[in-house]
This record gives sequence, C-alpha cells and structure tokens, in this order.
Amino acid sequence: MTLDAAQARLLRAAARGRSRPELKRLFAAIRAHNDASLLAALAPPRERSIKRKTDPLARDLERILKPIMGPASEKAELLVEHIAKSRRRKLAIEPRGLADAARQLRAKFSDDEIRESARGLVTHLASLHGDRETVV
Amino acid sequence: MTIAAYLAFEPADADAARAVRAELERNGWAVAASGPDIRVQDNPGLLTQAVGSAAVVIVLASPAAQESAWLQREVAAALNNGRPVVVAQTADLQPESWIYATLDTASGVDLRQGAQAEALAQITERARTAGGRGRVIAMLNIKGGVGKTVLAANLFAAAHLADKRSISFIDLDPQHNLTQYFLSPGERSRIRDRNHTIYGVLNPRGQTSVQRSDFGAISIPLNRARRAKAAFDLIAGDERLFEFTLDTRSDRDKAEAFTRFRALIAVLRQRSDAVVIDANPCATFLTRLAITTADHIVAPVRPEKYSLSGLNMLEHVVREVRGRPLRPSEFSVLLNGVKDRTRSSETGDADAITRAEISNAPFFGSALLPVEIPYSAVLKSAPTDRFAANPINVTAMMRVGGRPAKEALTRAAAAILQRAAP
Repeated sequence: MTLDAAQARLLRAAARGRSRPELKRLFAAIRAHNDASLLAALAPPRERSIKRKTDPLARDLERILKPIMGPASEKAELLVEHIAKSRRRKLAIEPRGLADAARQLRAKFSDDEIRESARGLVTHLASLHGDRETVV
Repeated sequence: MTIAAYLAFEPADADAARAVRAELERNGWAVAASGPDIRVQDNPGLLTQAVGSAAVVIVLASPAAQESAWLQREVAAALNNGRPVVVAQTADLQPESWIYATLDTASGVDLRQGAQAEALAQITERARTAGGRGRVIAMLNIKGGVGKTVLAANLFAAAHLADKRSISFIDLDPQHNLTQYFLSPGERSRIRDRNHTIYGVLNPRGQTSVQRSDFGAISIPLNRARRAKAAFDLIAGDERLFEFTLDTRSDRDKAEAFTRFRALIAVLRQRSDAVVIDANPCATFLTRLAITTADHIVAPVRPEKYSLSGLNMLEHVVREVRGRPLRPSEFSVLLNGVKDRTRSSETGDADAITRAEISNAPFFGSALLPVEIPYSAVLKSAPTDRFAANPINVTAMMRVGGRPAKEALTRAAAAILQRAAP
C-alpha cells in the first residue's frame, strides 16, 4: 500500500529532523494506540489551579500583616497575643495559621475588630522594631 | 580515649603535684607535668606544644609559682591556646599577685590544708567539667568583606533550625554588624542603655561594667518563637569596642578584659552546643581574644585575588598568638559566593582558580570544606520597610527562595560542627 502525494507531504513535515530509529519508535507507538490516547498525550499539561484563600478576612489579615517578616503561624500567634493583651481577655486559641486564626477569632470578635487589631499590632511592632538606620 | 591534662607546678610543690597526678591518673587521665624535659630554654616551642595539646591545664598556685618565669610561660601558653585552667592553691599568695589578676582563683580548689582526698576529687571534677559542653567557633579572616558576619548568622541559624542546635553568638567587632543584622536600631539602643553588650563584659570598671555573676543573663534571645526547641542568642556588639582596638586602654584593663571574656565563654559553653564569635577583620586585641578562646576557626573566602592573602595572614597571626602552628583539624576554610552570575566574564572562572589554589596548598588543602556557599540573593541584607519581631526571621533559612544556598548552609554548618567536635 503506497501513500498518496498529500499523505507523503504530511508525513515528511511531521518527521522532519528525526532520526530513523526515532521514527521507528514513533510509528510503533502510533500503531499501538488509538486516536483518543494519542491526542490526549499531545495536549499541553493542564495548569494547576492556584489555591486561593476564600475567606476575605484571612486575605485582609495576610495583607495587613505583610510588613512583619516571618511565617504566617508566628504572625497568627502574635495577633492572638496582641488581641488578648489589648482587650484584656484570655483567649484559649492556638492558631495553626492566619486562616485558622481568622476562623477562631471570628467566634469572639467582629471582622472589623479583628482587622483593627491587626493594624494595631503592626503599628505596635513597628514602634518596637521598625525604625531604620540613619546617618548624622 | 585518654584525655590529657597538663600539670604546671614548681619543685617546691612537688608533694602536692605527686598527689594530684596520682588522683588524675587513677581517674583515667594521661598527665604531662612541668619538668626539665618540657621546660627547655633553647626550645620554648616544646612547652607550648605540650600545654597547647592538653585538654585542661592544672596550675598549682603558691609563692614559688608566683615567682616562677617558667610557670608564667606555661599559663601564657594555656591562655593563648584557649586551654581551660583549673587553679589549685597550695599556699597563701600576695594580694597583688599576677595569679589573682590573670586566673580565676575564686573558683579554684584549696589545697592549703594539704592534698586531702576531698580536695583532690574536686580537682578531678573541675578538670572534667572545665571544657564545658559547647565548642567555641571563631569566624575569622584578616581580610574584610569575605562574608564572616552574614555566614556566621546564616550557617548557625541553619544548624539551629535544621539540627536543633543551641547557639550563642558573640559580636566581637566594633562595627557590630552581626547585632545590626539581627536587631533594629531601637532594640539595640535599649540594650546599650542597659549596658547589656560585650563592652560591659570587657569593661572591668565603672557604670558600664557588667558584674561577672550577670554574664549569663545579658544574652538577647534571637528565636522568640513559642515553638523554639533550643536556645539561639546573642551577646550584642557595641561600637565602643573601638577603645580596645585603639591604644586608649591600659595593659591592665586589657588583661582584665581577657579574664572577663574567658569567664563569659565559660558561661556560654555550659549552655550552648556552639559559641560563635564574629571577630573583626585585621589583627587587634579583639582578634587575639577570639583566637585564644576558639576551639575551631572558620575562615570564609571569596573567589577573588585578595582573599587568599588574607588567609595566609590569618595563619601567620594565629601562629604568632598561639606560639605554635595551627593544626588542620582546628581550622576550616569555607568558599563563599561561588557561581556568581553577576560577576563579569572578564574574571574567567574565579571559582575554579581559587578552589584549586587552596586545595593544592599543603596546609589549607585539608582545611577546605567540600561544601561551598553559592551566591544568593537571600544572603544579601538590603534596606527594607519590613521588620522582624522575631530576629531569626531575617536569616536566609526563614526567607523565601534560595534553596541551593539554604541546602549548602545546612550541610556546611553540620560539617563545621563535626570538625569542631572534640
């Protein structure tokens, strides 16, 4: 069975730049699989969807506390400590991260109160640790 | 393994020396002692070698010892080589004796009532614990700008975070960049106002002086996370240390500073796996303090022409201070800033040239660590609007990116601590 001129042209375009052993492996793979599997293999890999924090309060806390260097778990601990101290309340909360802190604090305070406390924490820490080097 | 002790005494104290020696040997120590075979006028290196290789030096203090030039030489060799000294007092000394000024006689053992079993047991116990558990590691290079400070902070932060090692830093540089690296200007000035800096330790008199009993309490915690398992702290630096590098301090002040610095080291050794001294470049009184107390010296080297001459000078300075050549096991050379893509192509392969130069050298070859620290942005300290409530968060290990550098830091720190182990 011979190929017609158009099929030969198509094949030459697909095989351009490949060595004979490479082509033989390619032909064998095409013979062994159906069209659906071959087309699926050719499709570009699907990009992983980026996991976004769905809780707007957690997103806000992340943004507000950004000036503080360190892992989110430490920031969450600092926030809980700051709220407990500034509101003189004992909070039996041990957050695993900012989202967890937002979820647990929401049971005791409003979202606005938590945001305000986060801003207060940044101001307080900036006054302790945030000053820059200056020259005389 | 037998641990060696050196027993320094005068012939007038021969009876006490015999008893101390017998007690030490009974407890498994190998003892070398003062005698004509070590005190050789024409070969002072023999004495330095014997004292410098002992794990501990025991000095029998008496009026005869006070007058002895040989005993002074033995004590000097012990101090210059960072050997712990245990004093056993066999008779009363004059109040102005150099032994009181130089050695810690307050925690010595009293043999004035004779070499009784209880006192001898005390000597053995003091000798056993004199070294402390921690190793003293000095970051040194006579050349500046090779990365001593940044590597000190980041190597040992890696050891602390990855291997849960307890680390105490001493910032012994008048520029106090290590303190600046970790602490904000506000926190530094609060610490300085309380005189809780190395200046207060070295300063023997006046309002700025810290009492010896407070040496253990002036360190600043650098890992304030609630989950921190081991200590990670700093004896803060102070720009007033320049008084000890300029000739503005008397020899007496310097001698007292030397004794007080050794007392600080002894306190930190007891509680930390490693005491890391960030020394100043150049060869000054402060460099001498670092060299005389260090069990191990780490010399960072950058792949550039002048780093190698700094390394040669360092070997020379250490030989001068200790009175004997360095042993390769007491020294590590760490190549810092390799694979720097920002470097001009005109310099050729500076990494390969520097590496080959060091590894082919007879002395430095065996001290060169196989792990090298790659050039990385996470090791740079740039001005930023962000701040760290927990100082360890400024280190590379806690920042985003720079994985090759972080892996290299962890491996290099482990290699250094292994080489520094007794």
